[in-house]
Amino acid sequence: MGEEIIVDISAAGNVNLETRGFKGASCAKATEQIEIVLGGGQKKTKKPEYFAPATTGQRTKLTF
Amino acid sequence: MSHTTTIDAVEIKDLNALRAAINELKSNGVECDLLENAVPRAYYSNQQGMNTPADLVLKLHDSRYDVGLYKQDNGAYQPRCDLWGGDIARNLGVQEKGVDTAQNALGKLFNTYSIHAVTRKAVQQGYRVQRVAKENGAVQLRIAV
Repeated sequence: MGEEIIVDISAAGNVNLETRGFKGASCAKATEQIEIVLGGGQKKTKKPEYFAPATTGQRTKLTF
Repeated sequence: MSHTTTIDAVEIKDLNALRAAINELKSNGVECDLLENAVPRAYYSNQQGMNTPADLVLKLHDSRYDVGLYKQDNGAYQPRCDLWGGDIARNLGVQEKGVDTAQNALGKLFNTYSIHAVTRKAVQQGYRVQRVAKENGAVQLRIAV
C-alpha cells in the first residue's frame, strides 16, 4: 500500500487528518502544508507507525 | 436581540479555494455571490462589527443578511454575520452534533471551503485526490502521496 493522507471533512467543516502507509515522522512532513492552509483547527492523531523508525532509503518529503 | 457573530472555527485564507467553494454552493442551489469591499447586510444598518466595508461579502440573495469576511492580521478572513431570524442558517446551515450554533449556521461554507483548500494544496504538491461523499454532508478526501 502506498502512502496516503485521509482527510475527513465534517458537514460543518471540521477537519480530521490521518496518514496511512508512512513510517516515522515523514507523515508530519507530508501533511504540513495541508495543516497550514487549514490554519490549525483540525485534529491530528499520531498512529503507532509515527513512532517507528523510517526505513532506509525511504522517500522523505522535504518541501511541498 | 440581533447582534453580530464572529466565527473562527475555520480559517479562510485561500481566496481561490473560497471562490471555488462559492461556485460549488451556487451549483448546489445556494443563490449567492462574492462581493469585494462592501458592507454586509445585518439587522441594523449600522450594526457594530459589520458597519464598515468588509474585504469580501458573501451576498445571500435568499436572505435578508449577508456574511462579511474581514481580513485579519494573520491573513485569514473572519466571517461575521447576523444569525437573527435564521436567514443565514437556512441558506448555509447544517445540523452537526457537538458543533456550536454559529459554526453550524455557516456549515456549508466551511465544509466546501475546507474541501477546496485541501484539494488545491494537495494538487499543487503533485498529489492525486479522490473525493468521496459520506453521510450527512461529510466528505472524505483520499490523497495519494
